[in-house]
Amino acid sequence: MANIPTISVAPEAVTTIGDYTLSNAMLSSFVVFAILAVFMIVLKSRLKLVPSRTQVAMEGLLTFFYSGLVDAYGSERRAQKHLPLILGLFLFIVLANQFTIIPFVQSIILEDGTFFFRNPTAHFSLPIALAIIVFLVSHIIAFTTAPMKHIGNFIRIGMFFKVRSFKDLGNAFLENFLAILDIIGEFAKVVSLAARLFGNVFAGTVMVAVITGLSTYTQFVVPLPFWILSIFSGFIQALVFAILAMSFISGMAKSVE
Amino acid sequence: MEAEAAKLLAAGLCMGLGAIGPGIGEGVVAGKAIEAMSRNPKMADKILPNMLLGMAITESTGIYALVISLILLFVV
Repeated sequence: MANIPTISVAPEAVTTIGDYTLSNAMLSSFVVFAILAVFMIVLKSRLKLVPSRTQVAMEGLLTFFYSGLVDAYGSERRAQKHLPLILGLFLFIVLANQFTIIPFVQSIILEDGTFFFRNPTAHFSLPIALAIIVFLVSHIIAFTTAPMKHIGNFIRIGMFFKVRSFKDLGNAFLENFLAILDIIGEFAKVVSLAARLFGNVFAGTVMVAVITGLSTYTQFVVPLPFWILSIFSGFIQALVFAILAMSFISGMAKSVE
Repeated sequence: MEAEAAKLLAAGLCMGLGAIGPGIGEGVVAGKAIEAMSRNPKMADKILPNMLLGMAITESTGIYALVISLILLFVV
């Protein structure tokens, strides 16, 4: 019946270097990084006063994120400081999400039937690593600006020393309970940020694989709308990741001001 | 019931029930956005990206259900 290819959440191992397994998802993320680096170096060497088409596109992208950051922070100096991180996340995720639509990339198959390349964001480790980077950056920025205030946002024991009446005691307990919820919420942010990106990209891959494998007749034209959908959602998810990262970092930085 | 059958049933139920909330939510987002656009067509360019962003965030609960059902199907 249906010839659906085996779908695995864990990436397949391509080769091993010493004790270290090199998976296809990791290999693709290195390739994505190399493509991005070469593209940026070439673009930078060709910057002109009268811009080329690519330069206009990149400048538009930069202005979009810069104005968003200025709105989020309210200060241009800080926006300039954090622009490379946000724009870097966006460009990397956009390229990583669209990596397998590059022609012939999916055609390289090893002898034992594993793909040589695989969508890097369709492996849970990469989204969760990016989410942890965002989490750490936001907390480190808040902690270095005002350490005591940042800790005070999450542990509100100080409320107990201000208790004057019975009502205040109730409020103090409530505040501490809310602070615990805030701590859980911080970790939930990491999971939700990562799961959103991973789920969308992996679902796109699975959907195309299932439709292609349904029968002989659904191999050629039928998967096209699903490809288009997954490409579209790849772009949207990259934008959402960057904007949410922006709002997490700026929200954390504002909470200690 | 066999473990394999229970797994398949759980994955299907998880995805089906998990899709109800985001479905309603995205409908509300799209409806409101179109309402706003038709009231003020000049703002349509600004509303569209915000609508897509809101939809992508609304979708996240559906994506959690998807991740759970994928884990049920392929990992557990």
